[in-house]
Amino acid sequence: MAVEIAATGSGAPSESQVGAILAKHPAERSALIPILQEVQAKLGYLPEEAMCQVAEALGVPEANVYGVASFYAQFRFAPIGRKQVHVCRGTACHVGGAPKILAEVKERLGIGEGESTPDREYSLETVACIGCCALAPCAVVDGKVEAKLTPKKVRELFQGVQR
Amino acid sequence: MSEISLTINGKQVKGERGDTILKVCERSDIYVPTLCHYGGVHEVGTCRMCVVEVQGGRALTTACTTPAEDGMIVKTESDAIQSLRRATLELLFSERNHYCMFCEASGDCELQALAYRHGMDSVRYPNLYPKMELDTSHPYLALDQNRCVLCRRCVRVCAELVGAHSLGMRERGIETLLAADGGEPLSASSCVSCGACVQVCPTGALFDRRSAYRGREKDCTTVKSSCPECALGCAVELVARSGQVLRVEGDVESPENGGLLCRRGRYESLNGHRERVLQPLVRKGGELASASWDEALAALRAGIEAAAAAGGAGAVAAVASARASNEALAALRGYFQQKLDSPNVGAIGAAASPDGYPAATLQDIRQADLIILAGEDAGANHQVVEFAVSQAVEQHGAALIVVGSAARRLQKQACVVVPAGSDEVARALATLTAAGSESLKRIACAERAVFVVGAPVTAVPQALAAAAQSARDGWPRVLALAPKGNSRGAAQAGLNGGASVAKGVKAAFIMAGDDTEMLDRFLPQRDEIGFLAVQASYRSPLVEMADVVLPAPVWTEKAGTMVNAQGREVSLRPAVAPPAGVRDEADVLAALSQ
Repeated sequence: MAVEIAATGSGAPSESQVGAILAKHPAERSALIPILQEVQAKLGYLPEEAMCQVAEALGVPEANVYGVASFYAQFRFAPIGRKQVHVCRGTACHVGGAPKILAEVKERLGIGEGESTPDREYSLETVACIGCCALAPCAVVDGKVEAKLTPKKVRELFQGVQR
Repeated sequence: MSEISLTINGKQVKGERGDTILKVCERSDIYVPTLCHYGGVHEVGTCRMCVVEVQGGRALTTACTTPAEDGMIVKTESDAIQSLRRATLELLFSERNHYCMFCEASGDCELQALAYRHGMDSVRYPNLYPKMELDTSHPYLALDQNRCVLCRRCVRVCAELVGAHSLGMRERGIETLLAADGGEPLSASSCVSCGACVQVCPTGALFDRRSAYRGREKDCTTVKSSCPECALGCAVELVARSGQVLRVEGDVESPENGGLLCRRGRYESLNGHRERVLQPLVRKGGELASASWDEALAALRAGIEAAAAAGGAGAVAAVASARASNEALAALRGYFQQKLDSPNVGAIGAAASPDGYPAATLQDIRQADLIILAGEDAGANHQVVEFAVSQAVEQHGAALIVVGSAARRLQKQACVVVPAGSDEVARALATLTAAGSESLKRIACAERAVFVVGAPVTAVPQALAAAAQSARDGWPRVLALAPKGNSRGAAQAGLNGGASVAKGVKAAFIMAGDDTEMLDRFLPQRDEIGFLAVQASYRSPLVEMADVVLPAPVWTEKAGTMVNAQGREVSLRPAVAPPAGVRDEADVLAALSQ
């Protein structure tokens, strides 16, 4: 899944982007989750300033916005990479050596679960099952299923990645 | 309210429609264990301790969230109930690190008490031993997630009673954690440092840093007193041990502040590191030196009476802080007004209440349908008023009109904001309530309008007169705030509030007590006043320049009465004895008159 990444860091562009999303919704508590979803779709994650902006606009305490956002697994608080790596840890993959695969991916990318590489090229997450147990152990890299992985294959996959 | 009748544990009991089962049980003195329940905030039913059996129900149900119905048959005790309650407790204990012997709250912990009550001698579930953060970033309170049972009392009190909305829960399920704002450390959050969350925490998760580990509940004494930090005179409980006040708690039995206090009252008056004046001092050969009480009083009397003999009664002045008790003020007047006939006796901060309108209590504010807040930054100076206003607006839908500078939060809640500098408030208020104005119509429609006015506003009666054309049954009411704990009492004693030492005064006595703010204002005048005697609790630049210094007790060491902003008499009671060389101020001044 390709995600449009906004230029963050300056803060100002995301403020107007969030503003545009807020303008589409009624300023009510009930609009909170759809707004957060749109903000994340736009920015790739929920920056703290964006959550504060939403809280202010809806008149919902910041603690509640954060409470809702952290309650749902779909929301993230760190920027996402352009290419997402989902390493499967389902039963079949686990038996097939998923822990070794995961360790190798971490080693190659130099990041942990839920983190992104400093250049925001890759971000890493684990998933419970991607539904192709016959290909275990597997991972999804930038939308493409990588089957029957070995640490060697992982090394080849991420060859040339700047750490 | 229609009455309903239930059978609880085989006994016929009465309740009112709208009651929960728990409420009916409380009315009838039937014990139901609770943990998350807290009076005054909405029920969430998270702890599951109050489960009861309702005949015909599918399963055990929480008494705190189940509405009582006429004819209901309820059992609050049975083997099944006991077994479920105990299992709940065991789950709570196994989920976090509840080791009572290391916990500050041991002996005053509702979780611990419930475990004893339910005979929890072992836990059948494996301990999870989670690694939990301790947030000690805040200067006055600390959060230990290890002890948290996720009851959300603090979250609800912070939102519903205080109106700060600083606390919330983050994550989900077993990962759930108490969090401030977006997960910031408490010190960096929007926390207003009122300490209400600490007071309602049933365990040791939120605790007072100053009093932590300085004594268990059973080692401490508790004395009911009144806070002198502002003219609200909130009811407090002083918790003390071994001659030291450990902490100030709000008195939950008070219908006024109901356990809420502000940052100043709960924390700041105890947390200063100021050097006390511990014995009388007299200037000898240019230096302040220790003296006996007899020597100091003789020197004081000699200095004052010499000036009176030389320059008449007008050459002598006495200025008190309007934080002094009625008794101390009476003793001061006894010597300076009655004995020496001095015309220069005043109390800084004395302020009379506007005549002719009933005083509004904090309860009135909470129940008001229209609040006009004028000329006072209630958030900074009278937080407890801010809490009551927030509660009225957020919980009961009251309309709020702000004139001047209120706390930012109240400005956001207001339907009308009239910006005005502190000297323009009276005029802005007059314009706001001018004939035919929109706001006047609003006031005329209100059934329970309350004016909250700050100390600098003097033209309130005028504005009120306009509003009061539609007055009914004792409304509108007025809460006129005042700067000092006994501002009203000092005004009632006829003392001038803007007191300064007049020109031509050759000898002055300044009774500051533990009001350190007032002393500095006399620094520029020090040289004009020949003989200066100061009564103070703490060392300060003016104390160092005085000829005679009398040590004074601080408020937690004093007995006496004050008159609060609403004209109600409140009492100070000593929680600890003053240090050895310090004597009660009223006694000392009475001795002067003899």
